[in-house]
Amino acid sequence: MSGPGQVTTHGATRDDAQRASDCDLLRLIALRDEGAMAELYRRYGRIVFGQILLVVGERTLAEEILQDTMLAVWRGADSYRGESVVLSWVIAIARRRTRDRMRGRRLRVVDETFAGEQASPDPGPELVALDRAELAEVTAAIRLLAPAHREVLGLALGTGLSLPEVADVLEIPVGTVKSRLAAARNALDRVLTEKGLNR
Amino acid sequence: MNAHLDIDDLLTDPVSERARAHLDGCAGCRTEAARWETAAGGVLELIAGTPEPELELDVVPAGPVRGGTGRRPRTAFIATAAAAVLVLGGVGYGLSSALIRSGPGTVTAGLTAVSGCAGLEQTDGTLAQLDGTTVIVGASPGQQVRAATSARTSVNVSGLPISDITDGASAMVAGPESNGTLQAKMVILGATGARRINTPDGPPAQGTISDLTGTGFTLVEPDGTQLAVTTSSDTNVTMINAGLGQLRTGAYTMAIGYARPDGTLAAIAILQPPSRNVVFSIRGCTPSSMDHAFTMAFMAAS
Repeated sequence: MSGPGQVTTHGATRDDAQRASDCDLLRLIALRDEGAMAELYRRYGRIVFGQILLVVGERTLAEEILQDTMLAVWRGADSYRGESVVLSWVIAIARRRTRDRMRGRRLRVVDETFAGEQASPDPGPELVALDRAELAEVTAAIRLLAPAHREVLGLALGTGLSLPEVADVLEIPVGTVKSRLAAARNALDRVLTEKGLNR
Repeated sequence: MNAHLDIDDLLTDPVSERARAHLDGCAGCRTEAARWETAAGGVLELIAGTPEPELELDVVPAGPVRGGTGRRPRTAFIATAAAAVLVLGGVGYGLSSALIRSGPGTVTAGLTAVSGCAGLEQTDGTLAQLDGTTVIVGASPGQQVRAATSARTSVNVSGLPISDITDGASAMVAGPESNGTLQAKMVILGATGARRINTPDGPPAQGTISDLTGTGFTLVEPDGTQLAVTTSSDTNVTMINAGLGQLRTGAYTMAIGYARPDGTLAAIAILQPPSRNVVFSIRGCTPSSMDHAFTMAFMAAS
């Protein structure tokens, strides 16, 4: 945190130079440069894996999806058009691979029930549980959230993507990202309260 | 402009001057920011704090050198379509294994492919020279390979002097135990996390070295148990992540890395093992996976 009351994201920090470098990496990967592939993984592998694991909740499955994702990057690097930052492009691939893997299971990566939830323009409700929760309680509660809530929280708070980039990954408007985030955080507070995780 | 800050304002890093000014005068928004901060802390703990995928290691005990293609990758899909993925740090773990072979006859034209790690090559022979950060290895002058190292190159050295053992170092110790004292046959400095390993004298002890004397030390295990260890001239001291300066010229050496167009090797690992006839079976083709594999193979050879 850089100051009181500020919320920052601590995922990958990307500046213009690094974005260009990421693009260069993809160009090299398209030319079958294994070193470039390794470098891309070094930069983003953990974030992508963490996001997948956050959504699917099963480590073995997350590892398989990560493998699928990186293979898709290797095969499809030449399809990258530079219309999004590389990290969001990779995460979008991971999301599609997750959806493919989860097809037929109960898990739904995108839950449309959140479409009706609107973010309030005012400061949020009295999220008492969240106000006094400890870190371990929060992580335990996040694991109990619906996949779509875990997904949007992970993307917005854990990857370093901006909200428009999150919207790009989720293929929804930015406003919907905001409302989904607000719903996710309210759900987090409810879980903390209902499960007594912070008592 | 009295509108409260929205999520976008609060999640933007750095917070804008406008948002900062608003936060200074809006207790409700500061509370809101703190809640997001709490949620972000939990998410980051789960994402950034996610441990590296666990390496599943198999040790192939010392013995006859295996030839051919080594183990088959677990799935044909990977074998046929994703060879390059196998070189990724961590991605290849558990999905393939690779064999690194040492011993006579493994060098062909200076470099030999490491089975299971696409693009990875190995060479072995006598360490002829250390030229700055370049290691020159070869069975004979005509077969010498220049292996360039970097800060990320894993250097593992066996056969170090007892004096290289230092207080505070993490270590794995194997040897027979008698009357509560472990007679060290093998001390691996810097070894951590290797599991599922057995030696002829049972599982090795792991801990931190303290109370070092000329004839031994105390190994403080993670649960606080203190184990007396004696060393002798027969104790083999190995260091994981050693310095280049600890490599011994004239000793048998293996170099593993990526071949450059000029015929040199960009080394990811340099190894001076305790024995020539060792097969390292790794899962993952990264320096860290090799450190684990080397540790376990060294122990198996003790």
